[in-house]
Amino acid sequence: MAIKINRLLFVAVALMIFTSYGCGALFESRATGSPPVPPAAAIPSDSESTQAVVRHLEEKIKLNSEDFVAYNKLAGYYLQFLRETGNTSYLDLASRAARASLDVLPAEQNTGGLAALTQVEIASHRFADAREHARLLTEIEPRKSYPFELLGDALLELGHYEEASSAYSQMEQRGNGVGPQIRLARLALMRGQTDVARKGFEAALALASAQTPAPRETIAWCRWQLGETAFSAGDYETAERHYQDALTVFADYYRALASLGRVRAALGDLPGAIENYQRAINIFPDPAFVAALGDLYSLTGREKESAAEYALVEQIGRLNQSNGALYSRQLALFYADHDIKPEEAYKMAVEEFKARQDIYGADALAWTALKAGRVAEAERSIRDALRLGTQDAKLFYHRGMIARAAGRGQEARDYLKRALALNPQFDPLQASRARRALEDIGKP
Amino acid sequence: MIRSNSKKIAMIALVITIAFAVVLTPAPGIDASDHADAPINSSDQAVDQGDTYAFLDPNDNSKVILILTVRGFITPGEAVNFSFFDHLVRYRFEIETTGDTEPDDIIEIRFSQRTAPNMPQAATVSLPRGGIFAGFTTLATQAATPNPPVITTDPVSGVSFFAGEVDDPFFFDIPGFARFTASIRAGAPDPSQLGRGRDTFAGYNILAIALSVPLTQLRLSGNVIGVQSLTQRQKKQIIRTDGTIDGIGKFRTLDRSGNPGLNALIIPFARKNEYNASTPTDDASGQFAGDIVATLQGLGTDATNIGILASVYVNTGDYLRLNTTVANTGPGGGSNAGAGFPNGRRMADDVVDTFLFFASNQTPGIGDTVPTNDVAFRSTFPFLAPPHQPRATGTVDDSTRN
Repeated sequence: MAIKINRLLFVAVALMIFTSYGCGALFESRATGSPPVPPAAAIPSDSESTQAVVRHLEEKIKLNSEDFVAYNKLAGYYLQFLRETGNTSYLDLASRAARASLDVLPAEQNTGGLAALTQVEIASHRFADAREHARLLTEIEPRKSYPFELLGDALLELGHYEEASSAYSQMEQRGNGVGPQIRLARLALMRGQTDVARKGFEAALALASAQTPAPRETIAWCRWQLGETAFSAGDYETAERHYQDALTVFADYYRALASLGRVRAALGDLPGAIENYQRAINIFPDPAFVAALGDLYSLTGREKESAAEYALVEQIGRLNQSNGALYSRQLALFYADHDIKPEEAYKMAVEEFKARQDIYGADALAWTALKAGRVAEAERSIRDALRLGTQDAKLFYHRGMIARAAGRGQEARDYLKRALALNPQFDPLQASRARRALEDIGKP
Repeated sequence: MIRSNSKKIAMIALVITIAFAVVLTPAPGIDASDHADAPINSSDQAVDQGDTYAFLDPNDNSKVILILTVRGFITPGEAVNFSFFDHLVRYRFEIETTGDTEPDDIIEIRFSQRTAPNMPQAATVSLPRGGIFAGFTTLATQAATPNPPVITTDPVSGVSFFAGEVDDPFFFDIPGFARFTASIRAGAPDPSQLGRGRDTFAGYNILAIALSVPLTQLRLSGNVIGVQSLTQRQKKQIIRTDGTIDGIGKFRTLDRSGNPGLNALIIPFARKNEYNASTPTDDASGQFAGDIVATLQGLGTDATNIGILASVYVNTGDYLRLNTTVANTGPGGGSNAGAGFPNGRRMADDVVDTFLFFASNQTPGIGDTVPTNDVAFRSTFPFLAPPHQPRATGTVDDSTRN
């Protein structure tokens, strides 16, 4: 113990020489040359033992339908399955478990049930409800970090960035694990602080990797986010490495598979891109993946297959209308990207923006407004979308195209150039359109 | 479970434990579609305390048994994921021996970072008189039979140590209790709500640290000791180049537990965490007196019984107080009448019924209908019952196991 205490004192004294990233946890000095990102290794699935636990909890509920503890735990497992598979039937199960728990014991005495319900609401895009329940959680448990994590998440999705930032400050005062680390990194990414974000995700990955047993999906998630950060800066080799690492950890991680497809396309390997998107979609048909696969088929002359994928995007979208609004944004963007049903797409974006004024909602509104001929509204909305200084080539591209439509050639050139300089192959279809637009505008 | 009224009235002190439902599976955040949310913080749970126990060893009254429980509601089968101690947390027993509110003796337990699910953790126990000794945790398993408890006895001090996964020793019907108190607040008290007979904690495991401490190891100045347990953590973490994690900076108290349930029942929910981070000296300064009185008044408790329930807590802080001259005898950690809670707390003491008795102005016969633990306590150290293990293959669900 004495040795340990001395070591800690040493650390405290030596703190100033450590590299702080303005973002939660610190790395020890890198003087020794150790890379901050631990090497990727396969983590075995614990699904067999997890399934056994879930069965046990379900049996407990059969014996005692008022076992709120079992409901809370089940909600947690269902939400984890949702993360791992994207399968929204787990969302329904989690929702029912959380509500059953709160029926047995009210929220004020049942923070586990309330936290599960809040997570369900975030996953269901009911962000305003999630914000209210997260607020209640912060009142019941004002010294824990997780209520502020959930509150910040809901506020972030609602587009209330100042409030989200202050919730995350509260979170940071109370916790310093993987959860807080990741959130600070995400906020940094939205603010265009790419380096801060990258270091934050690296710290989160190091913290998660130090846990025993290693949390497979969390580690894969951190690696995937590192890949997304690199991709957004046009660093495709690094991005690909992170996606491959995520897949080394968790072979069927659909998010990393889809992103690997996107980066293979950026590197010019369209067959490789198609293969990875197909694998991702076999696990989880996210409409954005399906649309991207349709684009890739179209680019390789496989028009019939492309049309089938595009039809599938619309089918999922229609399914969506009866199931809440999980995918209306993707569908609206799909229409706008492909110049179809401009009015319908615009109306969908307007509806979504009423409930949720985040920067990507503003972007969807701007992009669909442009396609629907509402250039002035598109201009207002795209400035709104860029208000945080986000470094995202797609946002720059949209602004450039909107400026062109508004007849402001200089601004259009500036933003199209910025998009292509930052991330030259940000999208297989749209990046080439950005290039063509830039050529069309010509020199001033 | 009604005890003799005269004895109860003579008893000072209070309350009940409700390790109320802070049951959060580390459910990371989710992502249905277009937003990539992050996992949520599960490290909060590592500091969530259950209960504190303090009683004389019924086999040798010259030793006091101190037990804390932490990180509750572990299902059999979750041992690999949850049944270990956080190496960044400082686990403490603070012992008051002079009758005031300030702790006099501190026993601190730290653990090494877990390196593999099949390896026990090394523990370091620091004693009040400066002694330090090392031990190991009892490894939790997913086998049909749990490992026997690993008990380390320090040859110098005679202190024995156990740490590991156990059956949650608390027994209590939380929904029944909540419905009963709600019925009072609604103006139509309904004691039948207490008749469910459902033990919320049955079948769940928890982590426990148990110590057997010769009274000679404490610096006693009288016959009564006060005991509270704490979990503390540093604010910042540092990631070392070898990938290990250390804490840096001052330790902060994140949870504490003394008398059963003061925390969860009597302290209004909105102030619970504020209470957790406070000290018995804050308690004694009356920081929470108004809250406690208001809560009890809401339950219809009269001034006399509020006095009984609140006075000890308010005057000398939330310590579990044990008179070391009252003999403790019997199986399962002791069972002789009049020697248990609120004189310390033994494994089998029905603290919920004791609380309800006073809160209901000493209504005879009142109590939840959960009078005992779901499994039998051991009669020797560490007294805690072994953990529930996953079911053996070959039973109900075997066909779907593969």
